[in-house]
Amino acid sequence: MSKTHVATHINGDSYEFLCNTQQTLLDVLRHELDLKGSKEGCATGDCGACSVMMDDRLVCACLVLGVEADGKKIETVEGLSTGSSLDPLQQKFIDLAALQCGICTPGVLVAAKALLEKNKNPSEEEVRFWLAGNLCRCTGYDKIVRAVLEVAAEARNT
Amino acid sequence: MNDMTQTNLERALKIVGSRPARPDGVDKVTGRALFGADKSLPNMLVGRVLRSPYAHAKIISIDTSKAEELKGVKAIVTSTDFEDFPSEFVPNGEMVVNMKDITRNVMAREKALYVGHTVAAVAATSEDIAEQALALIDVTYEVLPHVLEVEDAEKPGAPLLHDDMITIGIEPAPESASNVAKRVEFGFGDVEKGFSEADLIIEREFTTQQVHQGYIEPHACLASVSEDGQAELWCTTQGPFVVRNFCSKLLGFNAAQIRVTASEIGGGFGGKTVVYLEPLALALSRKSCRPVKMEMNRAEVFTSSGPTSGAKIWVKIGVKNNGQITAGDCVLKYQAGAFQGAPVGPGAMCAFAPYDLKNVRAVGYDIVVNRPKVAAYRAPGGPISEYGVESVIDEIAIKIGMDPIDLRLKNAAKEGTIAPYGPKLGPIGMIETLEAAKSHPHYSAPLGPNQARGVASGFWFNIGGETSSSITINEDGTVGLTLGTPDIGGSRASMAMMASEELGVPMELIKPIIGDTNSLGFNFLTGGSRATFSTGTTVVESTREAIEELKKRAALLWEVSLDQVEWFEGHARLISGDEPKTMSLAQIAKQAGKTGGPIMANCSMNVTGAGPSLGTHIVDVEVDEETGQVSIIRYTAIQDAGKAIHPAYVEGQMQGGAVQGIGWALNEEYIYNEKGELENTGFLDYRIPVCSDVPMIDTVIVEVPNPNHPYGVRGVGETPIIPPLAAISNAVSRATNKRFDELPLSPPKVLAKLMHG
Amino acid sequence: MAQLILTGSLKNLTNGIGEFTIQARNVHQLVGELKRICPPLAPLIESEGFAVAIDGEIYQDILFAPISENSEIHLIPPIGAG
Ligand code: FES
Ligand code: FES
Repeated sequence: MSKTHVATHINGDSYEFLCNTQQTLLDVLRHELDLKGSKEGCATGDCGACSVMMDDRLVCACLVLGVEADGKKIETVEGLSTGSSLDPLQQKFIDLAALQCGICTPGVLVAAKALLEKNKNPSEEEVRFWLAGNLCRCTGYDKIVRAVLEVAAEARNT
Repeated sequence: MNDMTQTNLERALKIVGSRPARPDGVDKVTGRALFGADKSLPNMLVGRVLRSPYAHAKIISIDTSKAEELKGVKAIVTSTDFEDFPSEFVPNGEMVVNMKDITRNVMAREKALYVGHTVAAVAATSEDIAEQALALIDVTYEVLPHVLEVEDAEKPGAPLLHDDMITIGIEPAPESASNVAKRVEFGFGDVEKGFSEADLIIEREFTTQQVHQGYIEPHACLASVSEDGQAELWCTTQGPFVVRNFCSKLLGFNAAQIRVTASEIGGGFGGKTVVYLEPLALALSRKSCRPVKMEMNRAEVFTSSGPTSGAKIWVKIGVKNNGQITAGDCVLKYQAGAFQGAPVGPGAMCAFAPYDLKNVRAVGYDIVVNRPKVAAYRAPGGPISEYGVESVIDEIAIKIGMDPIDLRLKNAAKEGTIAPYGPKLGPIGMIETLEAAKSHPHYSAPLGPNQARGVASGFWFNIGGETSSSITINEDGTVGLTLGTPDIGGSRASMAMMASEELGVPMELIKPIIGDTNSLGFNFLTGGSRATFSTGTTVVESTREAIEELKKRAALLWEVSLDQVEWFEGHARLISGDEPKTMSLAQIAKQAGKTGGPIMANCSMNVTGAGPSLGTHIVDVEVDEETGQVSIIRYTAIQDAGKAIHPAYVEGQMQGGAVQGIGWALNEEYIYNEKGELENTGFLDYRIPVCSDVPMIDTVIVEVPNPNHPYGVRGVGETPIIPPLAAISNAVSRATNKRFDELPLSPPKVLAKLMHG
Repeated sequence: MAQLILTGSLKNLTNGIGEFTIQARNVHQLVGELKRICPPLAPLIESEGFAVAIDGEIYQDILFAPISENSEIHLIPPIGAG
């Protein structure tokens, strides 16, 4: 089977890769490009562990084909921090213990960041519905929601 | 151990009880942390599993010849690659297991016993080739009738899963085989007499469905066996030492040949305490002499790992009009899955354990059915039996017109109470959690229309067990901790905190890691709420030993006797003498080489003295009478932690456990069709709670110290999953004036009850 | 002398007798004693992984847990880990 050449931007860097047409973006990120931060919890779009941004749209990387990334801008958890400074969401998750095992955390962070970019002042309900596609089995969501709300509040106050 | 306890509880704590950042936090929020599926090796093969499509079938033959000819296929294993074992219980670490069953669960032999049961495994150069090879394996089955529910499985004439299974625990032993593996009974007093003294007796049958732990990370491993038989295994597990022991027994390795390294673990909740892929990957790697990586997909996790039991239970409680319980009796029938081992023993032991009863009996049956073999799930066995008992307690409270917390307080177990399983209880916090619930503003808050409030309590034993850890003092005054229990929910932070508290040096100078199986003595797994308690105990002990050594070195340098030196806030201090003298840990460490060599200490012990943890939850629900939909409006979880080392992670355990319980109560269930196939093998249909399903989970940590831990720790992970089942069912029953006795309370079931009663 | 108290289904193994007086200073000796006075009980502790509660404290697989003169001993099944 011949492979397709794909040129894309990931976390601000340009990448080129060859992939089979049926390969998902998640597969490409994890196995071809060795970006293992995006996780696979289901491969069917139900858990959100693979959440990434594609041209400013939040997607499940397991539901996007690798070839669809051609010419697009992809952002993953690996791109959240800049240099040695963490994104405020990353720092708040650590400070408030908003993760236990941490497998859902990359997807939750990417999704939460997407929310805060759209909505600077989300209500608790808006956070809960926005994150409804990101399953977390450890935390019961309480500390995750608090962390997102606190980051939003702090961003508004600075 | 008791005197050291005293000193600690009296001492003002600086670190323990605070909320510092966890040592692995940055790795986890940046995507750097490596989980089970995140590691690769050069020249690696991909392993895939062929699974039975039948719920119950004889395996007549397996022909792998066509698959072997496929280019890129490097190894195929079937049951002939695994040694057989006689049916006997042998110790495996601290578990007692029947290797005859374990080897058959890892790889089906004579029969496939559930849909998804492993029949063969293939390693190939790509996933595609491996999948093609699976399709080329020719298995001839003779399909047999199957049985899925305990009430069908125990009937005479039911299809037998194991034709040599004679029920244990019945005298005289039955003459013929059945699907009932075991009968257990606990209790004392005279329940009949107790019931005769009662003013009110409530008796009810309950049903719960099979549910899965639902960890987000599927099982995954990477095995590499070299030509000389040395094996490396990387896997996501709650117990690398337990994995090593299982795999070495199953495959005939000796323990030193297999080095198991636990990856970061993406949730376990009991489900990652046994082996599924690991022995297959090792066998494939041994055959091909190449590294083999295996991952389950989500459907395989549901069909072929170990969920917990569905059950049928019967509960009868007698009570005086003043609320005094006169007798409690229950019969529990738990699904074991394809092989014996349902958690019905602990379920029976803890059913009535929150209460002080004079006449009590709990009978349990472990029943095999054509479903995957159950594994542990948070407080294994407890949520099911306590759901039944706590529901009946609530019904009694309504009938005698008593507040449900007052009724529980009147009968609460306390220090000195004889537990239903025999021994006298030490100090426990049942009364304290009930009182905290009663005085919580939630308990007296007003309710809206179609809303009601439910409460329930829960008891879990907690365990200790074999544990080993070590501490090293580095030359620059920093400290390394090597731990043997994987960190699922922040335990590295708690361990570093305890070492920091003891040493009196900042936590940032302490680096805790999880060691592999060659770096420490045996460690039982992370589970049963034992890590903070047991590993914490060894960390405190080894840290104290290291402090003794540090004091010795200071004494040498000062040329005084050891008893002249004390340890104070990170320094050795000369007790007497004309002028005060101190030497910091870093100063002593710098000269360690010259004063006798590197400083390290370890502690290995079989930790005892775990203290039971009691919890009480309050929940407000709203029932939509049109659709049957139950919404959780408000939730408060109250629990005795003994001592919360890192309160944020204790709250996290309580919140996460509560929400798992909410899922069990409201939505989660294994749904089988008549062919014995699981119909909901994904998160879309097996619906665990999502963020918008739940409110904030308020928590209250009660601290009744466990006298057997240096800081009073009890362990908190198990208990919080117990109360939600009954608390929610009680709330729904109160909201609708109908007594619900079946889980999950999913909209169709609630609606059916509302319409037909 | 220590008291061994049996409840529930264990009594089936002892013809209904619920209390034994035991001369043992630790679990190891207890197993030896049980083999002598009540053979059907010994395998439970030895191989089926029964735990022993001594004065309310649970010992799982610990042979040298001490038993004192007036200890009260119960046999219970091992408790799992979730
Ligand atoms: S892996 Fe993509 S949504 Fe679960
Ligand atoms: S922290 Fe474990 S799944 Fe979210």
